Amino acid sequence: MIHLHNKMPSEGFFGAAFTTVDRALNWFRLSSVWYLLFGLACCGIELMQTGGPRTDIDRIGSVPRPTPRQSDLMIVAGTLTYKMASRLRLLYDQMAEPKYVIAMGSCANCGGLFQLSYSVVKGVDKIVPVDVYVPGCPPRPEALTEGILKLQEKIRTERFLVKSP
Amino acid sequence: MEAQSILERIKSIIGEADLIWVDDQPGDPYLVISREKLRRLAINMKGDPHLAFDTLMCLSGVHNMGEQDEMEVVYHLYSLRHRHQFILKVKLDRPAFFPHFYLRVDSVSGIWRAAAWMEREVYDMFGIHFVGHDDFRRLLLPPDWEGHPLQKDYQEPDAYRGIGTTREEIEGVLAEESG
Amino acid sequence: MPLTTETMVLNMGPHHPSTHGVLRFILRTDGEVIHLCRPDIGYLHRGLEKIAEQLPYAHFMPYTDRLDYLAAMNCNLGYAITVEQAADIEVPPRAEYIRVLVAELNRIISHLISVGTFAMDIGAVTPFTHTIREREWGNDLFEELCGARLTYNYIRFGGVALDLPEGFLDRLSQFLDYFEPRLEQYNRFISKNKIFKERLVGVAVISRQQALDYALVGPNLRASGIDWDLRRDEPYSVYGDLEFDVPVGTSEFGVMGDCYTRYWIRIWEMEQSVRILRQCIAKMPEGPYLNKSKRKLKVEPGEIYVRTEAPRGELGFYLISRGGIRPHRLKIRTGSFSAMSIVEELGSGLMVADLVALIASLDVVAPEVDR
Repeated sequence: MIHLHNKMPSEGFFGAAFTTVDRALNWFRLSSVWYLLFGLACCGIELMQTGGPRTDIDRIGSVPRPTPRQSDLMIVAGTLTYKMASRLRLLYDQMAEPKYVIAMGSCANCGGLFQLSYSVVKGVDKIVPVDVYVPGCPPRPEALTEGILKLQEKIRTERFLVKSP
Repeated sequence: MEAQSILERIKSIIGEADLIWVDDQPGDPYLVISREKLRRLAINMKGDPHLAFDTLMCLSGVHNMGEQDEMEVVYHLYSLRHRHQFILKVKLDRPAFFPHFYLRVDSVSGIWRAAAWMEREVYDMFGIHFVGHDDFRRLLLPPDWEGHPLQKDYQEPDAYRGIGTTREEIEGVLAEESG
Repeated sequence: MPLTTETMVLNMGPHHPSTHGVLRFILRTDGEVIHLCRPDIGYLHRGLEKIAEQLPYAHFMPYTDRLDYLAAMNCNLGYAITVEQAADIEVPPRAEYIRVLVAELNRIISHLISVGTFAMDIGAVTPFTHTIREREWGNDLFEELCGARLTYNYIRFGGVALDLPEGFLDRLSQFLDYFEPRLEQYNRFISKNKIFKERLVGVAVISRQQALDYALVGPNLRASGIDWDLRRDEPYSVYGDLEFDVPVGTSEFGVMGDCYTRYWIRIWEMEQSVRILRQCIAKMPEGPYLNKSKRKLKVEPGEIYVRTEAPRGELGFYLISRGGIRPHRLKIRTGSFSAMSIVEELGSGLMVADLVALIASLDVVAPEVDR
């Protein structure tokens, strides 16, 4: 997104207007963070159960999408192997800006208990930039919900039209 | 049938030469045969009405690096009709020069179709070639992977296509704990 | 001028909305009909067998959870029985009954996911939410027992890690009383549904000879008419003292060996598991729950192959020990591996939507295929 901060005023009447527009845009975006179903392993089952009837993240606006073209968030749930790594990067590149990544589970954070293995990528952040790390093996649905809420906090503080002075 | 009677039947089919029967250690007894006899024995083990081994339960590779460097291919066979099982082994020497010329075994995928993927996996992990397989290539690892991981002297590469294989932060922690 | 068609190469890639994990199929299709179907696996190959050679026996137990995460207790049980037979460790009776109890409860919730995702792949999304709701109840019971919802690490060599909490058996009975009528409900709105039957009857029939040749196991084998269940025919633990039937496929519901029969076998297995659970609750003995063994267990040199009946078929552990605290070789033989290998032969001639039904009916889960 083009940052027009060189040209947009940050103070006075117009500054207040554009900051409010910023806040409104952020509120629209964080209330409907649609996530890409990228369940690879055991954390994928907890991801499905987080979207299930009990811990329903649809009530905070997150709906699962099977295609990256329609999603804002990619939740990498599970172990990433070298054979799968190129597909992860491909899907990340196919998402439209602004996009976010949550690394769910120990295997996505750092390799998890498969750090002794020869075919596991030791951490998803070697391939894509990660915004929120959710620890656990697998994380409880409540933990993943908190991860998404923290991401919403992060989105709330972003600025596109006006850079803070 | 008991293992001894199965052994007698096998001896009557392929003769007694080059057969080693091992039953003195804890666990299951097994029969070591030479690689030349494998194919004929496998066909008879499936076709003979007294043996009737219609299922190949498990096909695995083993690498022993002790006084001599050798590899084994282990076949676990089971008969649903007679409810008996049997274990066959083929031992292969692994020389230091041109090992892939010597690590060759006849494929049994024409006899038990389950062996098709199991043999591909043994090749992927150990480097043993199965002669006569109709679709022979790596199964689990990427096609451009170098090396066969389950060999005892396998060295992990430093990077695969630019992705590093270690995690720099934990290397320091592991060194502190052990040092 | 005659009309001709061309074939097209279609990639059903490792990332697709079907939830059976990261499996890839390369299809050559002529419109909707598949000419060639080639599975490409290994996207979740984590090298468990190499890890087993580097760790002491007891430290490998959490890895068996991740082997088939939907039926983690059964995988734990298989590995524990293998090492106990190799090292001659006795298990007290209460621990045996607790093990069978958790294994059968895990079979129920594993089949629930299988049935739910099967319906979702056919196109009906609602049954999935119903089965997930039942599964949450099962997860709560496991969480009360051992603290984890999915990967339990509960079974130890010589018993189990923790005793049953107060009132656990009552809550389990309550769950079973709630669950049995639900199965009847599922039969009304999924199993006997006309659209479901039209999609599945006669699709991808696996003959008896094919099932034996490809070494299929578990419900896939029984659906093709072969009456073989390790719990009854080679009993381990206390299955010899329990009464249950083994459902085998017949031609009564469609064709023997088609996708519909494989679905029905799982529904009937859930009913039988409820029956086993009620017997376990009634017969639970008092006593110790663990015979403590050494942390760095040493196993005598030898080889052993032990198989147990997991929800996806027989799970075999081939263990070679050369003395010492680590195994020399641990080979894991899983049911989903054989089930994936048959897709290539069955795939040609099917339509793309039937291929999805076939994969869902075989109940493959990616870490079992790749290990």
